[in-house]
Amino acid sequence: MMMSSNSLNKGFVGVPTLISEVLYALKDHETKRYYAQALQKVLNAIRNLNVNYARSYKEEIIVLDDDLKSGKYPDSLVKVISVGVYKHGEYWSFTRKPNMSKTVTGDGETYDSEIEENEEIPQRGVKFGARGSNIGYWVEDDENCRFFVRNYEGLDENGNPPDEIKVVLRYRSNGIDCSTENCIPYHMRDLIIAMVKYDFALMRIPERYSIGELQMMLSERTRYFEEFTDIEYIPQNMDEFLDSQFESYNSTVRR
Amino acid sequence: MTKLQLIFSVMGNIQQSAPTQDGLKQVHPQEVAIEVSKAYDTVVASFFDNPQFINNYDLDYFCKSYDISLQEQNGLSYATLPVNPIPLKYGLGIRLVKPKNSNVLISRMSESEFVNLKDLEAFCCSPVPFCYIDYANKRVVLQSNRTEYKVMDEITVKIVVKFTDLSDSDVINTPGGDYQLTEMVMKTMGLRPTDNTNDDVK
Repeated sequence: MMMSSNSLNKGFVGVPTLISEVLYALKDHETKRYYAQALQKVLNAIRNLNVNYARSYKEEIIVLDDDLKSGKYPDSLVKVISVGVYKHGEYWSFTRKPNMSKTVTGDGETYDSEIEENEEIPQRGVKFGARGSNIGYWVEDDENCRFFVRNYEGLDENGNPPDEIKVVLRYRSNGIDCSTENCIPYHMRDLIIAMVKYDFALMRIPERYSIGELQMMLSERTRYFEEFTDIEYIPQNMDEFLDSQFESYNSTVRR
Repeated sequence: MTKLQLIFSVMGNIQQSAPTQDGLKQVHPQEVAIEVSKAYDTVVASFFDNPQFINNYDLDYFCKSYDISLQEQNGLSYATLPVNPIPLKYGLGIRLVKPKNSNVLISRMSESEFVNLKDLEAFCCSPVPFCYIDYANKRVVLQSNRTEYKVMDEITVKIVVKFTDLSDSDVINTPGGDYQLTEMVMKTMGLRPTDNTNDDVK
């Protein structure tokens, strides 16, 4: 998403705005001596929050390789959540099968796709359940930044094979995209500024702070973090709301 | 006050402070100019040595602004500086670098910082281009991964110029006024060049 630097009325900010605010907090808005360091710390903070605390995930359509039926991970991928397809507007996830063959044979050799040795990789699974959409299997191959799909041909409604097999990859992203400006939710903004400011303060930049001041910055950071997670985990429907109540009811006996 | 006025003002002060000097044998202006040059650079450097001043861009009294064309050589984009900057802390003898017709910041860093940083995401994801000052070759070297910044052909640079690179008619703006600058230059010079006052020594 392309973000304007002056997106004051929007729920998202871009990195240029965020960096300006961080430099202002560091009293470095005139010289911008710490621009590069601040930018790296901002990116680290975005990644940290996206990977460990945010609820959002990304989806990307991946075209599978013809030979091995493998798909490449997107650059920002941290962890695959699931692989599946959309059918009639509904997401159908494939079954993760960790014991499925990746690229090596039983002898420890790599399949040679040129002689179509990979065709020996058996298709596994059968259609199951009342609705036979969830027939595919997938397994991640993190070492080689790819995943494999088996037992999914992507046939169209008439049973014809497609030109290329496409699947949907759901994954946890680090939230950083080098090709466009990053899109940062507003409720993450204050937290990122507080995180970066505190990091710099520990390095005595722009000045040496007292223990009290550092403690205050840490408290501020903690408060912003709690605010961020509060908004992030607002129940989005009645079921989630009841679940959260039910959980708290279980753990806290009310009389 | 222009550069020439400053030199003659200092000369006048020297004459006044050395009444025993033979008025007919005045100090050569070139000799005074050399001493004033050294003193001026020192005065400016000590002015900006104050952290409050070096970080305050309202105090860019000593700056001159130049528009410089970018050149391309071996994939390196650079602009040759028309004058020498006074070497201030953190490379801030060059106060500002930006595209001529735009307000996009070109972030400055040292050359070694750039070398260390270029593999970080901060470089490839940066929304602004970076530059470093190559003092040895008297140029500003630009670095950017973004294609939109590679179409820049001219940049504006604000430089705290060395005294020797100012022209005689260049106006020198000073924070404390002309008189204070003259005083500071005189004070910094300390040893004032005069004509040989020992003429009468037998």
